[in-house]
Amino acid sequence: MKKRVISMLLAGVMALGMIGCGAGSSDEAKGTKDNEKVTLRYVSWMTSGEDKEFLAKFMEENPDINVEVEALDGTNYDKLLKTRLTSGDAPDVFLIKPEQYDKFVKEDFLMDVSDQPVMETLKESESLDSLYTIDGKKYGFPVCTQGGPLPVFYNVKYFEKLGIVQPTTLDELWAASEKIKADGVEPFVFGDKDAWTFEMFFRGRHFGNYLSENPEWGQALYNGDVKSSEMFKQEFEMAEMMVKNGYIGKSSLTMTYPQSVTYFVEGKAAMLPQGTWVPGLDEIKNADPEKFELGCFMVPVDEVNGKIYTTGTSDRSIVISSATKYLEEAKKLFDWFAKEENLSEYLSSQSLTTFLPIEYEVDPVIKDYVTALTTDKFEIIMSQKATMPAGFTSMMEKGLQSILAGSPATDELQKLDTEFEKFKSSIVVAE
Amino acid sequence: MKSNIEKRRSLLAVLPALCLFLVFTYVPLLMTLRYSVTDWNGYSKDYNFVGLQNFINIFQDSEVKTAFGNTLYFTVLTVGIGVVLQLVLSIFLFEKLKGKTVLRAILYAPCIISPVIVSLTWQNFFQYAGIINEIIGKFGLSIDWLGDPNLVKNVLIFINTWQWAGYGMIIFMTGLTSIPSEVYEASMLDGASGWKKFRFITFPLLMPSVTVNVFVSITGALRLFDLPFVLTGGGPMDASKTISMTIYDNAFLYERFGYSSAVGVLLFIVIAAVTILQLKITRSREVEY
Repeated sequence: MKKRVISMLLAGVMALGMIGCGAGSSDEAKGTKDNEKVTLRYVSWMTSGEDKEFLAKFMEENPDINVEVEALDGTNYDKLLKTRLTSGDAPDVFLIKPEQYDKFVKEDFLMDVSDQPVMETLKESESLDSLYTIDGKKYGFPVCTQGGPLPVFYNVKYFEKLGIVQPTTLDELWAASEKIKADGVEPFVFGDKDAWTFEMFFRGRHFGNYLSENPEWGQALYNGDVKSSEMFKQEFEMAEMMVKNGYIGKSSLTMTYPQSVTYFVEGKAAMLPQGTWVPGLDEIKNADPEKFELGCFMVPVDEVNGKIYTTGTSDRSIVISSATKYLEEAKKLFDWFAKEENLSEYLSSQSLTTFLPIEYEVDPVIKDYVTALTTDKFEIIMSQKATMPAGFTSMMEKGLQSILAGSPATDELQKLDTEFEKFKSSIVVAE
Repeated sequence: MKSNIEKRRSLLAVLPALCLFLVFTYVPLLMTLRYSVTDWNGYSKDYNFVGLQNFINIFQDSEVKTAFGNTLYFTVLTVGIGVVLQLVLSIFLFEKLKGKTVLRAILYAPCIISPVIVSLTWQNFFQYAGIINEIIGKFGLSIDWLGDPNLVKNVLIFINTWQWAGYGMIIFMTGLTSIPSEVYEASMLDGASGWKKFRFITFPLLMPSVTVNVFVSITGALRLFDLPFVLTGGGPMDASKTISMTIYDNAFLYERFGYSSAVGVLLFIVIAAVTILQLKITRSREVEY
């Protein structure tokens, strides 16, 4: 008797499970058109709800369109999105990362948006325009862009206490680090459990003087004109020097990105090299103004003939799926998002930057940084004939993380060459 | 006639589970076999058949070799330490001990928690700026648990052993319950006690449970993924990277789905070979009574 009851219960549970599955899948049907109200599916990796808030305004202005906003985990964004696109479960409108653009176009995942009115804005930046053009067509719009040497954030109050002024050369930066170290505080902090945080510090300056004569660094690597171990030598050795001299504390290696922000705000480390979005973080905004005042300077880079050559990327791009059933509505959302007045609000509220001539509010802390980047001194190279896959970033991340764990730079440089061969076949090269 | 109806009924009852099992286990397995001889990148419409090239490449891949070494190290130590610990715990908690039900529940609890949550919790303990270092820092000590390539493997072994101790313990306890008390009584008449009782009666009669536990531990350790994935991401310097993690990295990061399928097939063969060997050894030591 008892057995029968249990098996009936089990059967019941299974049946329920199946109903659950069924209900789930019907919810996820690709955009439903009921009572003339269209539901668009929108996906991005903004997990703190930034996009949801922003798109609520779109729905207010377009009561006949409902936007279902979904945020996927940023670290696994590429994997999760690819799975959806290949299984025919593509969202109608979504944001993509720079390394996804070329390969998604190649696989016909994206809709041609060359004729959308907002694309006129893109033409105002030659480098961005050529970055998005593939065989004369464009498939996306840059929501925000990143480039140049990374901003380094610091506590103004603490720098004043030690009598340190903003470093403008690397020597001054190391001198400041020595001073901070002598005071018993860690000079730099990175959340290197999330390996992108440390890699990012070097990203804008990976290529040193190479770029001034050879802007197509990706192709040079692909063709074998230069080895990874040669190209990244300077930066890997700099990372090693910072570790050896104790400019980066031991805690950075196993800390996560959010923890590194806390560590910095608590005053356990003096400098936090991070993205321009730092002033917009709640933790920074809520810090005690008596003890903490955010400041920012640009990490110093060598000049070549009075110019600074660095790379930049289209950070987030908005695209439309080639498989969308509601093209008209999707285009409406695309145009609305990229329209200057809306985009400007998006950028201002999250302390993001763009190289497009769009008026937006820059947080006072990063104002000098942003202004400096727009001067003629900086040559920011965006477009590359050879687009690196995600494996490239992960290779750099791993190499730098190992240096932070104490591995010699020479060993890690050697590993780069073998790692590079692994993903070489997935590099997309434009004709 | 009646038994035929009974048979059909049982078949009907098994059918839903069997269908799910086929669709979600065997179909992917066959698909993996197919992918393992292609150069598919995981999302493209076109791909080529490359024969056994993927399998040949595995033997030149230093990352896979490192991961294989790590996995072997985890397996030997977690199985060795784990099974002994589980056995000791079960024997202690099988005796008439005060509060043993509470202890059993506490020990069993970790294995019903998701490994992801376990990893995130332990991460807070073992980080350099974590809880453990904060405590031992009071005595002027600090250890880089997760940042030291030699130490991090052992931290993983510790957490894994801790998490599954209760699970194996329960299996051993069931084994202990099934040993008839007459056997013990008879042995006592013959003058056996303590260690001798364990060595000649408990342990041989417990062999079926040993078989199960060793089997579960070995397959679990060889497939270990979520714990290092969340806790360390395989770092530093690939010191905590397991075979399952290289499969994942190759498929989704390097976009070499074909190659990663080949590694998967190889891991399948290794697990199958090891467990068949293990079952042969432990089964042969099981006794009838």
